[in-house]
Amino acid sequence: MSTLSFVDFPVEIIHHIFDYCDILTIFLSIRSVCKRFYKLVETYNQLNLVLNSKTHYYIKFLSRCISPACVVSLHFKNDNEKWNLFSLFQSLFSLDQFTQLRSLTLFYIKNEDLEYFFEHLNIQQLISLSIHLNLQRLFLSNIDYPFEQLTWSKSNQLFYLSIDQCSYENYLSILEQLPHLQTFIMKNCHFNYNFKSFPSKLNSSLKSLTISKFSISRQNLPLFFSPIHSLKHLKVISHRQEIDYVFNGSTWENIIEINLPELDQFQFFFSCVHSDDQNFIDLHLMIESFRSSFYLLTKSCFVTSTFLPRRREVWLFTTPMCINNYTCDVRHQISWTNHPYHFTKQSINVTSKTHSIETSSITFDLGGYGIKREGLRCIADVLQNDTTISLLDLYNNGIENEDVQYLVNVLRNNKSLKTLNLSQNSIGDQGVEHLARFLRENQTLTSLNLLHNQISHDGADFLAQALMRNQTLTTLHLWNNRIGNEGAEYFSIMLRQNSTLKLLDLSANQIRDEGAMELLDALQENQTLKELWLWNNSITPQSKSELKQISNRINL
Amino acid sequence: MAGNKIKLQSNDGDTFDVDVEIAKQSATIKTMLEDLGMSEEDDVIPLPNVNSAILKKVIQWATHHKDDPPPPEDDENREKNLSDISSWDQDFLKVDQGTLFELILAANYLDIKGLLDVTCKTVANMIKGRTPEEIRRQFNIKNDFTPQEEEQIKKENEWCEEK
Repeated sequence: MSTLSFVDFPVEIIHHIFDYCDILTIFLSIRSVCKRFYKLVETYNQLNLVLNSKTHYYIKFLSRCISPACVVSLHFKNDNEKWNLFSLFQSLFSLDQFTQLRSLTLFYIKNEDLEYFFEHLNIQQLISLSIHLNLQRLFLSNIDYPFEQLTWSKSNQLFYLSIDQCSYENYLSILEQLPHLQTFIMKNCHFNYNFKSFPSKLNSSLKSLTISKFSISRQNLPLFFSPIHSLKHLKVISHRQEIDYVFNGSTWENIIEINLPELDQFQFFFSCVHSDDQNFIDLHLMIESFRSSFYLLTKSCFVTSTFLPRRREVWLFTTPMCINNYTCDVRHQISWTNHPYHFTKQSINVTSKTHSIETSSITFDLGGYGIKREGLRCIADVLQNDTTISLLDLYNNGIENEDVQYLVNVLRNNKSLKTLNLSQNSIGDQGVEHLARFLRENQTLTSLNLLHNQISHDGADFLAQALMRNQTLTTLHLWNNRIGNEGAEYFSIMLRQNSTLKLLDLSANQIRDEGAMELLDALQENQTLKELWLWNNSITPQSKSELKQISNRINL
Repeated sequence: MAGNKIKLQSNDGDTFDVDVEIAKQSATIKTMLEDLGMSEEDDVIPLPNVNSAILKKVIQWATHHKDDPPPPEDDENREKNLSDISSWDQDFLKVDQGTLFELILAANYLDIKGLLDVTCKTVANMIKGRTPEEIRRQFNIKNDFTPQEEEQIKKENEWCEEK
């Protein structure tokens, strides 16, 4: 029998459970269970007030026990014609007390109800809304209301409107009839046919416009923006099929200069899936058109472009980022500053100042992301320009021999990399030959990890020969390859000459007694190697104990 | 190919080898690994608030859900639908109440959002539509209201009878 009791749970857990309970369960049942629950219901401030035909009978009860300030979401669903929920609601609650309201949702509202609702909002409520400014969204969903037919009261004060769908007619009618509208948010805009010309003079005072699924064609852009000269803030989000005109800085520069003279805040986020391995997107070229003095000086608009290998997505966005539903991901990034390519995993919005100040070492931890070709291309671009990276971790990325060749060519002139992790890839002897060529010349790398690859005795030969020349590498991991006795022999020859290697890991390499003895002999002439790992080989128990007796530097 | 493993130790001393990617569903462990720079290879992460039986369940859950997409961060779109517990989770959570509660506390401590959500949803489902007395019986909760308080609550609740 467990002594745990639900009642004693921390408040945040109980409130979390409340998140999944409907309002009637919370107030009719939970509240009456015990003192602690009664208190916890009173302090719960994430209430979702649902008013529909089912809760209708309880609305008076709810109006007595709910504190409107604890309601974050108000949900009207007028699904029974018998009742006018809104007027009942109005008689019991006062809208201006819902100070924490974040979402107002209206479902299946009949036209006259909606009109009624707007009338009330216009005449009585809206001023108080403007005072409290807490209703973040007037959110109308699932309502197919012909906005252009709605006659708004002449004295309406509506200044904030958010709607799901907006057609060309809606847009015109809203601008015409809501002269006080300052902020307008539309999710979907349907503007994909050719516009007729706009009425010459619209008395709009719109200050802020957000379009979350932008889909206006290039030729319609000037016409669309021409009636809203007063716009100060424009936010556009679009997920594109291809890299098109929206990714071009001069498109927007022209529109803003001609149609939006007042605009001082331009935010955007454009993305596009790019799965074409052959044509690599040139982020440099893309960002160049946003580096003009128009963006940087006149509009203070700082643009970053990013490629995310894991999602195969290209992003182009203003900094700080104007959308927030993306988690941080490893990405290849280039910003408005002249700084070269930059690899980062840090939160996007903290980058604004740190771009120009590079720390002395950067870690590319791409472990396990399946970066494939274009990812490697990104890394190459970074490595060619960056002189600060000390560790490159490419663990488990499906890297093959040709990729190694590519990487080695890029690293040829690098003088900062100290640790290279290529474990769990598909590197064979051919790939190792390229690495060996690199090791022969390189004078900075100290640690190389080739664990879990496909290296045989030939690869061991290449590596051993390179290490007779190399004077910096101190650690080499070859765990779980198959160099065998022959490979062990190459390494024993190398050990007689090399005097920098401190740790050599040849575990799980099918080495038998003879190979192990060769290595032991070599150790007599090598004083720098501190540890030789021979775990999981095919060495007999007798030889094992013999080896251990002679040298304490061998681990098996 | 097998990924890196780490060792998790329960409060009764047992250790469990877990893939790093699976363990990282716990924001607590993820932070430990990333911020404290613990090397994944040989360090043991002690979990003083979780016993072996529960840790085993948690690992089982995390293993099944290792390829789930990350939960949406946008709180406003949080699903409050009670019926959306997957059938695997429903089977997984067919446990006695004590185990369910310990799982909730473990999910809270380890900060595994998905597990916390689904366990809390399960409790919410157990509460939904029950009377106060049924809830008390189900969870073995003592009615600690004074008779006067109870009368008061009754009065408040009577409002809803008025149609």
